[in-house]
Amino acid sequence: MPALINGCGTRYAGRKNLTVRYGACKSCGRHGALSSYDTRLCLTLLFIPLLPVAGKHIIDECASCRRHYVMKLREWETRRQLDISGGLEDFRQDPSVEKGMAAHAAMVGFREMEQAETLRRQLESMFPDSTRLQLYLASVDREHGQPDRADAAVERAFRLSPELPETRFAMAGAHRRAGRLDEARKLIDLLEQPGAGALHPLSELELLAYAFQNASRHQPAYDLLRHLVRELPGVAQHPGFRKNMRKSEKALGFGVTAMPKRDRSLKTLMADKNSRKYVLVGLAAVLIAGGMVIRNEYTRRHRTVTLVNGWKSPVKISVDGGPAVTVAPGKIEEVTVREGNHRAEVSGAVTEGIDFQVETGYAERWSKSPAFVLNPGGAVPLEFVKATYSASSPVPDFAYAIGKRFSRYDDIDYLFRDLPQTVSVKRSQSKTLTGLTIAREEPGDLLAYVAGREGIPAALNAAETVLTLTPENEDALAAYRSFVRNDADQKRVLGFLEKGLALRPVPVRGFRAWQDLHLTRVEKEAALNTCQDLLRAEPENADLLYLTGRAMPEETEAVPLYEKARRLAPENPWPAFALGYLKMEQGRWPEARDLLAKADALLPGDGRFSSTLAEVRLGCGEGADMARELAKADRYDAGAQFLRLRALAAAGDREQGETVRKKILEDLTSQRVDADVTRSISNHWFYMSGQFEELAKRIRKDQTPSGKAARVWLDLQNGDLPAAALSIKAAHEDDNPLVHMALWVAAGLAAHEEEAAGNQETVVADLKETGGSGMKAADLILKKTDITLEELEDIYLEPVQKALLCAGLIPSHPGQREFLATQARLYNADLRFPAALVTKAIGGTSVPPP
Amino acid sequence: MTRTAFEALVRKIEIPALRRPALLRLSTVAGYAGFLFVLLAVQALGFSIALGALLDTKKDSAPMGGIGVLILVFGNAWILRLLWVGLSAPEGVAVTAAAAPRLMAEIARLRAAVGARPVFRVLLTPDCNAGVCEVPRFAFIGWPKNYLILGLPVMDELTPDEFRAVLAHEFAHLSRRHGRSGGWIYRLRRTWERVFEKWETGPASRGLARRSVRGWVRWWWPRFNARAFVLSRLCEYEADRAAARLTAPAHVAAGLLRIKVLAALINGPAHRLLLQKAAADAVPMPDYTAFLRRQRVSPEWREEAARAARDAWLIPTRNQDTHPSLTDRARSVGAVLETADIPEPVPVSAAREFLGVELDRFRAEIDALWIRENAAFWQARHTAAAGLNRLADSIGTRSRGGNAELLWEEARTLASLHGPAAAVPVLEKILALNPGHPGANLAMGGHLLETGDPERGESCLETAMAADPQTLHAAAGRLHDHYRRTGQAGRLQALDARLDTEEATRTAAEKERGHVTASDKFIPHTLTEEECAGLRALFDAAPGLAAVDLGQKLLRHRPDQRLFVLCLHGQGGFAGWGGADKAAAALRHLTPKVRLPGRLLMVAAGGPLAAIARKVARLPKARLWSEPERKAQ
Repeated sequence: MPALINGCGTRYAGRKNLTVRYGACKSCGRHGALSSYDTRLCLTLLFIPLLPVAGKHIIDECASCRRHYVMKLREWETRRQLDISGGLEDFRQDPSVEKGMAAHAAMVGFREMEQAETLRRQLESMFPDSTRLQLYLASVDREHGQPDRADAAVERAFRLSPELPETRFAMAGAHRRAGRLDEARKLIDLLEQPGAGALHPLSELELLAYAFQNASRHQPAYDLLRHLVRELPGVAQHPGFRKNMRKSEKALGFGVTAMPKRDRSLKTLMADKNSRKYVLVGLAAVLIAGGMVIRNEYTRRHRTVTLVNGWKSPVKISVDGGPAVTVAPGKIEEVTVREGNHRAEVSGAVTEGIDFQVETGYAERWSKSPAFVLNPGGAVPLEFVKATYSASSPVPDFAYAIGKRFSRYDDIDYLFRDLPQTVSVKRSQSKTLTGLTIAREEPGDLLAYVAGREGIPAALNAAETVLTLTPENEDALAAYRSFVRNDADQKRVLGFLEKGLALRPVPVRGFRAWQDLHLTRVEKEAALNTCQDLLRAEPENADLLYLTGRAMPEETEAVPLYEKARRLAPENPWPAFALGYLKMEQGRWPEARDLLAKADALLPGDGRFSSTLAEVRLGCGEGADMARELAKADRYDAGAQFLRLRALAAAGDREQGETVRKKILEDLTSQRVDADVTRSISNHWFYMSGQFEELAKRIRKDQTPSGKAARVWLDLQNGDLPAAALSIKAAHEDDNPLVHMALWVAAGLAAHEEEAAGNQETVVADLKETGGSGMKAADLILKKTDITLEELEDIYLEPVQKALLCAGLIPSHPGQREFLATQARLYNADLRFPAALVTKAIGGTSVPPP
Repeated sequence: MTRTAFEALVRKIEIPALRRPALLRLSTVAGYAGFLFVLLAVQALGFSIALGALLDTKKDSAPMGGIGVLILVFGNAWILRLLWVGLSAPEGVAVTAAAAPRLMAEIARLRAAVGARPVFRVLLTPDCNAGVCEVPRFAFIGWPKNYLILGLPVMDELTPDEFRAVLAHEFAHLSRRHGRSGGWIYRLRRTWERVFEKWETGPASRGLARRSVRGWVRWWWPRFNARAFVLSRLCEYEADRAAARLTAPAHVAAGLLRIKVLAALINGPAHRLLLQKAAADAVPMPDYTAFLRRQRVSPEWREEAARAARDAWLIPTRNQDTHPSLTDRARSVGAVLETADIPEPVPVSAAREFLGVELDRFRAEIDALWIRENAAFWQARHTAAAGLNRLADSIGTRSRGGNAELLWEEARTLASLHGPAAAVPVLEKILALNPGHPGANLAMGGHLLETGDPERGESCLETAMAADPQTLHAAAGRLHDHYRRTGQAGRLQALDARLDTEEATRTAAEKERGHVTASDKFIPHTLTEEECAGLRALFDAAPGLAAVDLGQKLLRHRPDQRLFVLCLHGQGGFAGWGGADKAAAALRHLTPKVRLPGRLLMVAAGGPLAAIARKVARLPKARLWSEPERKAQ
């Protein structure tokens, strides 16, 4: 049959040579008009027939269900004419009743009713005594919805051969339809004889029984039905027959049925048209259900546990005493276990026992793909991603598991595989996929995630796991230190880091972190004593020399140790770095540059070294070179690109800087970098390039942290001290010693003596608290006499602090203005805040000449 | 495959098979290969999908697993259904060692001598047969239960020695030499037969795969069947030789002859007598075995037995039955028998010898069994006979007027009631009225062949076949029986060849006459001028007709029949527009009016069959009528 989907497809168009007859549809069984006609099968678009494909002849299209037979029009036309003419030719050659009936049947079959009628009259006149002809005509009439004419033909046949069984059956049928049931029964009494079923069809007997039943004459109906059961025992298995017989039995008040017990075999059920579909559906359902149960059980017994190894050497894992599976570093293996409680014994890089439970819900075994990950020592950070693919492309959800020995995830589509970049879905739909991979983020970010999600204790645990694996990870160390909230935390962190002091080679970064956690003077002295004790034990250890020097309260005492260490181990970067740093603090940029370059070369990739070297190079006036070098850096590396901007600002290339800024913003925005980062970069650029009006315009309504910080810079730059006080508070910069110094300088610049004095006290207090060079700087601020170059060089503060110090000393030492301005300019190499303030204080331009 | 081709194939296989039967057995067992291939294919497909889905941890693999399980379940069910050969356990009166010790002892002795497998049960039946029946426990795979079936009428007919020969023959079938493979091959052949019938009788296959399978089955089945056939026949010869070794060749041959004679008597006069008795009595005969014994000694039956014995020696070996002819079997065991010998009733039968004092009890049980088996048919026959008698009277009264159809119905009724001989007078009346009446010729021919007038009988059957193709197989069957009975092997082969040709010609002719396309070859029509004039008169009255062409399709098969193609050209307007519609209207107008001496296809030029019209128009003298000519006249 032709079919249309949304108005497109094929359909019949047009009707020619329509003939209609009334009869029962072969498909739905309903009595009604059955149409036959010629038509064309057309390709159709939006219900409009466009292109005729083929001519068709439709046969007996049911008015109810539309089902029909179809033939090619050419074939129909050819067969119709040839069969009819062939039948007539056969009849012409042999004018027997058989040939006549065959020709007539051909005409009726091809719906040539006019010709058939003519031939019928001819046959009736030629064979007036033919019983078979009359019976045949009766069947044709009945088939074509002419029951009266059929009954008349049957009567004629009966008159001709009243003893012929076929005529008796036909006549009985006519009586039955007319309601003359007793007469009908008399006519077919031969069917009620024993053994009649072997010779004659008993269908008329069955129909007569039902007719009796419908007339509420249950006794004869019951007798006939019982006879049918005797003759054809199989009929008693037919549900419809049983139902009818039971109906008569009930009406007659028979408590016990005369029918044999129903055979409920599959064969019988399948033989019954009504129950067959239910049996098939049931069978299919049972099979599917059985298959699903088998699959569920199989899944329960075959759960896959993924083994990962984040250690630097292989680990062996044995689950429930089974054979040990060796997992190479960075590799993944699998073991299959049943659902339930298990214990894994880990040996190799780490030795531990892990109890874990593999369990899922019954229904989840069909619908979900859970992941179970055994992670010895929690060494592998795991990243769970849930990504929704849709037209709007929302940001995926991430979750991390750091330091967990065993992790369970409910449903993972991509286990240790990357999620696809794109998935095809309809515009209005979305698809969600989940994935589990090894986290690639920096340890610091991951630990911050754990701290925010699971709290500080979990974060400390995770950090200790990470540091056990990578004790020198600066990022993790910084995060670990940042988790210290109270004495207990500090004690724990110090205890953990102290374990590393005994390690050789010395974990310098961990040692430094340990030193940095000693904040008070007493603590620092204790740390110094520890260092000295260690150094006494190993006086030639360059690392310990460096670290002891670092613990010294006076930089001058540290320098010999650094130099000794450098002599002993020229390849050790730390002494060079320490010496270079001191030179930088003294404003000896070229010497600092050489030392720091050496340190950077010895330990490439260390962010601390490279950032300090970059600052020193700016101090050396290499801004233009740096900008050129950084043009090749990763365009999406925000740090490198910001340094490029700093270099361009230092080189005074404002035009190029503006272009680069825009490009950076574009690149970083495309990577969905946090908007505050991009805003902060822009604010720094406008500050460094002296575009204060533009900066003011941009931050007017900006309440983000970067905007608030920039507000502080502008207020201080403009000398608006009350506003600056408010903006400092808003930006939570109250405790920042650098801001205090900047405020001191700004107050001096604005000639606010009282405020300057108050700020000076704050700055002095800040500097004294740091001890060492801070004390010397505080003394210098309070000194009334002239300041010498030696005094300034003896103070080891960061260049920006020293620039502010020099600028702040100008009001109290007006006679040394030129000297102090020169010194301030020397240290004011980095044009970030508060470089412009320093410049303003010493009376220069905000942008240095190239 | 045609009969002749099958015959040739059997001959081709038979000659080398006689030298190396093991090779033939091996090649026949290869019949399992087809089933094994399907079986393995279903398992491979189902298991690969189901296991693949089970082993895959993805959540969307559950439906695939279900599909795999469904393929396995329904595929295997389909194969089982295909392979299932419905062999139910035979029914009969069980014989035990306690009831018939001599029979069971003889059976044990012969079984041991032949080396046959044990018999599960020995059954006595009322049939004219003796044989072993294997009922497999597991479909065609095997592990059968062996039943030894002994017809009591056979035991009554044979001497003890002849019966021993029969038993030895049957046990040879169960022997280790060819018993197991023989049984397997038998079941395999039955299975393939079912498959073949299913594909052959099913609806026409449309898909390429189904058509390919059907084609393959059609090709494979006769080839396998020929090998299985030859193998079965070899088994028969081997069993005969084994029986001859254990008893004597003469006993083997004599036993075979007696069984053939008995079968002819039961199927012939006994059957007719029973039909008459069923028509007369409402209750089945109580003593069937006694009836057979009584009739066996009657002069009529002795005469029939003599005729049957003569025929038995004449019947040649044919490929319709795996059992060779009596002559060939006797020759194969080296028996020398006088073909003029007529088997007389034996004084001491095998039944008396082996069943002893329990014989009467067994007879009573066999009679009861025969009544159980035939009661329904007996009653039905009795009922029908009453109706037929009334019908015969009724028709007989009316048919006196000479109506051939009524006479034919009377003849059929009389034949049903009293046998073909009773209908002969009526058949003669019919043939006098209509000498070509196919039914009457068929019935008369069959009767004449039976009653010893073969020339006239053959003539009648030829007339029937010529008059009505539907009677071809029935008439050929009667001729076949006659030639076989009279040992006319040459004419049997000729008849087979004729049937093959006839069937092929008929199929081809049906196909040829059922279609007309533009690719057919057409020839100028062969109507007479008078017939043409009649047609022209019809066309003169037809509206909108411009011209009419007439041609004939060239028929290669049955060229005596004609197929006319009449092409109607309508009167077109500007540039011929509307001509096709007018031609179609004229076609509808003329369809019930035009009658030609043959099949006729009327084609409207410009209609769906316009290509045919164009081709016919190019024939010489095709133009039968045209409007300008009519106007000119």
